[in-house]
Amino acid sequence: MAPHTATIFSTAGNESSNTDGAIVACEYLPSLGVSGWRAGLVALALGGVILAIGWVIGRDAPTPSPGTSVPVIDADVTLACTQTFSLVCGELASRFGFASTGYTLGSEIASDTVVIGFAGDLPAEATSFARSPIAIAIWAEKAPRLQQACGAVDPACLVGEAGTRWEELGGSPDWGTLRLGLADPETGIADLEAWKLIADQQPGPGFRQFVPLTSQDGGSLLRDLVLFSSRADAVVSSEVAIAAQLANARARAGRLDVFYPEPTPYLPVAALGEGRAANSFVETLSGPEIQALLGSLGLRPLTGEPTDLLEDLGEPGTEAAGASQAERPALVASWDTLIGT
Amino acid sequence: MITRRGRRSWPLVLLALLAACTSGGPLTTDGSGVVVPGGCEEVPIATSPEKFTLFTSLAETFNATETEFNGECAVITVYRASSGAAARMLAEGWPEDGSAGPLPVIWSPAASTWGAIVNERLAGRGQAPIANDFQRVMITPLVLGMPRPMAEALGWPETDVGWADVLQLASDPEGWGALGHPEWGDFRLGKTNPNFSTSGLAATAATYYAATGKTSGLTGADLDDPEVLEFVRGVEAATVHYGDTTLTFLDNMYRADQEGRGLTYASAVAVEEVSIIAYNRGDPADTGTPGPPPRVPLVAIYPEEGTLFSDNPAYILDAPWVTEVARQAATAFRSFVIDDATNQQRVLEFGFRPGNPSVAIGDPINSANGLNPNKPDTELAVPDPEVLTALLDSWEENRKTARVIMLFDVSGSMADLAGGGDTKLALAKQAVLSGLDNFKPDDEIGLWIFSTNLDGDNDYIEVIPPAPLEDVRPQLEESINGLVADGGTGLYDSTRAAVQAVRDGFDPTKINAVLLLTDGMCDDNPPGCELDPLLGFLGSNERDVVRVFPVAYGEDASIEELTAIANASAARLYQATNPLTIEAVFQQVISNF
Repeated sequence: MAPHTATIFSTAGNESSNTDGAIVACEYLPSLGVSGWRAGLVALALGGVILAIGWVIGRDAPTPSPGTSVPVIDADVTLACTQTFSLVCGELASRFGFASTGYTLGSEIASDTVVIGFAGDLPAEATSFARSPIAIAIWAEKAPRLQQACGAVDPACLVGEAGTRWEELGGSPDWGTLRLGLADPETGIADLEAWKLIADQQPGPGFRQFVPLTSQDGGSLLRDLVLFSSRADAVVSSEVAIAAQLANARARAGRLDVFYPEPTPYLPVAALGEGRAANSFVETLSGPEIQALLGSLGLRPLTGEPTDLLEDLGEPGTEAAGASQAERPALVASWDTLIGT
Repeated sequence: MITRRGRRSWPLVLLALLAACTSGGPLTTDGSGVVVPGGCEEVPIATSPEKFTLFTSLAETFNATETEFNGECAVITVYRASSGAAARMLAEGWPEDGSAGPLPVIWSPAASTWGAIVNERLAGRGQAPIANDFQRVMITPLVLGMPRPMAEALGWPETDVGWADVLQLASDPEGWGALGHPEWGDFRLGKTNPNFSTSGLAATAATYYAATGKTSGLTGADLDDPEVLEFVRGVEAATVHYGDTTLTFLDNMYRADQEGRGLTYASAVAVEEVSIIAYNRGDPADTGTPGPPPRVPLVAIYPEEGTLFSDNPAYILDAPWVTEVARQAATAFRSFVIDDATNQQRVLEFGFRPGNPSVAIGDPINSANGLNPNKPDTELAVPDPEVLTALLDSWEENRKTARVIMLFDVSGSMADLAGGGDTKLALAKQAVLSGLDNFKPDDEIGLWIFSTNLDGDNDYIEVIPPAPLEDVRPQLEESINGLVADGGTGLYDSTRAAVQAVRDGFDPTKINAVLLLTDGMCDDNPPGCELDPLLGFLGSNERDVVRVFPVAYGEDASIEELTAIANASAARLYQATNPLTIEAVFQQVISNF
């Protein structure tokens, strides 16, 4: 096991120096009732100590991306994500010089590792730092046809028109019938909420044949939608899972349009660390600098609006209550009955 | 994007190699020739053949940089295993004699349908599924490869073409004449056996889908629908013959093309998109050493009813023989192959569409190669596992019927010991008797034997004329059990006579063929062993072709001569150089019918 290393945060990209410790001390000592030359001495002493610690343990600090102002953790931290959060892990790892790896829900968290996932899928001690609504992704050329047919691209429209020939909806005969993609609700909370939106529309017994794309989780669902673009026309999943594949979709198969059910559940996104350095990074996720990055990761802050939101993501409406614990077994059972695995 | 921190472990590899060499430790060799240092755990990959070269190359790079997992040494090795055969072995038991390589940690068949079939078969035995955890290495759609002029005659590329067009042309008594090209004869389809080949499985599923008009949700009831079965039988009726690999069709088509008869062998072959690229660069078997480009290139028809993808999964098996170290090594290797964009670019070089969605589809998947990267418009859903297994049963009942003479060498050399205390004849008898299970009851099977002067001047005897297996099976078994070895090898005139007998009773609704099993070279009296007249005879009838599938049995069979015989009738040679493999080889031969 790699030795745990004490963590020191610095503000990289501007002064980029641990002398920041002294500056911080100078700023905060007056509020503690210390001022004048005494405060200066204390600040210098504190700064010296911090400098010394920083010199000892901060010799090979990873270099953050130029031009950004993000905290740096001087330790070997690995970010672990399911496919749904692949963009989040990939981008954060790239910015911090960390490693990133895949993660299977429920598996053990390795030391010096931060797992990022939906709070409902992680142990209770995980710290929420963002949220993601459930959304609908549909191939852009088909979206206007469905919007025209239903008035809105929402779960009622998807269930009502599933299996309808696109020709009848004003689309191309080459598109065949309207087909959907969904993820197994037993695997994760987001997939359960996505399925609830569909199940609430009470699809009939023949619904299965109009859902040719099924996956074990939302991330895999979106990846498969891009890989096999003619397998399904629309999927219901978390916005963050959709965001992870928007660029890939453009490069590989075409643009995806994103719609939001009204109302739609918002799912808290959380992180859980194993080891000191990992836990320090978890705390950093709630800090202003990473919060400012959330939009570019396909996430939204727990409160307020995201900045720098990914292109193609829109404005979700009001927040719906999620599935209660009591509803969950029935939802899983309805999936097994209507879709199966 | 998921990234991984590589470890530079060359010193470890060298140390392990040195330790193995100096201590006399065991060194094993894999299918690709990689040496596994003593003290290192071997992590074998069993891959379908088309990925062997790619995996071998990637494993070499990976092994050079990363060999330590959980503090222990592990090395990735690569073995070929055709998808259907590996699926069967994983479900029924992997051979312990090493003939199929070691038990795999990673299994990469051509499509995840095979994983579903393995799990379904294991479930049928009350066993837990083992093919669960997979990621896709690369993907390629099933297409109908068609000579460009024929595709154009059907309206390609402006008009979408599909299985219904195949059925219509195949059932039209005028054949291509209905489209103004009587010189092309009947519509002939090359389609592999779905029990052996991924392309065959996908094409068969696509045919059933096309018959129902569905694109997903194929059910058991659909498989029993008389209208569906009539459609399926109509398409199957156009089949030239089946077989275990699409390479047979592409090879034969290429050979015919090079002889200026490119439009005579088959009108369309159900192959993966990637195969069209290989064919059009003059390398139908994808050997890496292309010949001249074909005179008539193939284009890809993406059936308008929809098609399936071969999704080339890499499974890390949930099997008891997979250790934690092996699992870690396998996971790291899989990530190296899939998550690394550079490695995914190599997938494109091989003509596949990358399995990593962040890597765009590019050359050589382009119109210059007769392909359309924006197709297919519709993808068919992989049927549920229980429907898939029922579909295979249904296909067995509704496939094109065969009319085959088994021409069996009973020359004196067949009495030689072949290993394990059995004679070559005894092993061959057992293979033929087991192989009878792979025919369907209404296949017409005959038995001829040959050596020299068995019937006066004739070197052959008709033991049982072709008749439905269900009628003659007991006589066949009795006759086969009673065969004895004696005399020389009157190979050529016996082959000629058997082919003539099949021609005399030629049935255009059946696959008409001779299955020739021989362990030697022709040693008949002159002029009985002149090859050219036989080859001329075999190739003399382009319409009602009787195909000869030779099995070169043992080390003394003439591969060269038997290959010429197979090629002359646009069939394929099978080799059982090691007599102990005859049973498996015989099953492959019978997959043609």
